[in-house]
Amino acid sequence: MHALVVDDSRSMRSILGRILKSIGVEVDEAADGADALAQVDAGMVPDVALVDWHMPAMNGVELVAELRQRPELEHMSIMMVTTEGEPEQIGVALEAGANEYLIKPFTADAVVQKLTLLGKWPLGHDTTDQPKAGAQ
Amino acid sequence: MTTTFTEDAISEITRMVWAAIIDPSDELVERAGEAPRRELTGMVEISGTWTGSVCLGFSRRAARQAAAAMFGADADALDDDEVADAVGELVNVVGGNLKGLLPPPAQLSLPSVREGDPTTVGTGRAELVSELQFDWCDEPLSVVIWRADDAAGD
Repeated sequence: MHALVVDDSRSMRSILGRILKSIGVEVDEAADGADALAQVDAGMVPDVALVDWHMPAMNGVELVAELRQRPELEHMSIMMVTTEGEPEQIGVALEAGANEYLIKPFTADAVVQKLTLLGKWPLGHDTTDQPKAGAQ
Repeated sequence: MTTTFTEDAISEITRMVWAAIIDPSDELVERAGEAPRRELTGMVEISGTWTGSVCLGFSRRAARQAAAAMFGADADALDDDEVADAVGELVNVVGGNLKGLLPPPAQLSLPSVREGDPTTVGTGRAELVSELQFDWCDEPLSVVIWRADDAAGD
């Protein structure tokens, strides 16, 4: 499985990256929406994108809407990862095209639980994914 | 409106953030009395039904130790930008969760990080409404809430 972590905070990308790599997920990072779009426009097709809400220039909801315009990403799941936990905000993100919602702060178990809900975990459960050597 | 944040709520949210992001075994211990000087401050602004700022104040050593936990790296291996990034993300998460206690609408700014103590970084007209002090790894940490004076009395 391949994940794209989009967050303007390097420390938060590091935390999410370590959690994902610990369960055998291949991880790429983007520092903002423009960086994420540049990577997918260059051919990256992640299985899941984890997207922060509050980012400069383009916020996470705007990025989600942009990603949902790209047919090649039709099968990519999107998880918002944010402090915005109000039901109205969650509704806005889901309406834009997010599939799941993870509220900061989170635990590693919560990340795995959300991936499970998305059908992305355990690895190999999703028929488009192949288990990686050493994956748990 | 007169909505503000109780010290219990500030303490609970700060502890929750620390346990999840830094280390569940690294307990924050509340402290009383005169606060030691904190040298680095992260700040987010909230606007809406309540308008003001949430600040996290750190000693340089505490900030570096927190960043080390977040980056999974040795504290001495981090550069100043990485330390500032970690401080900004911590105040973003604490401030964002405090914002969740407010009635909507409420917007959260992007975090900023600056040199200095959180009780002195307030600019413009603002009222210091809460200061909660902790010790973490024998280093000072504080959560300071400023309320914009423009909102006073509404």
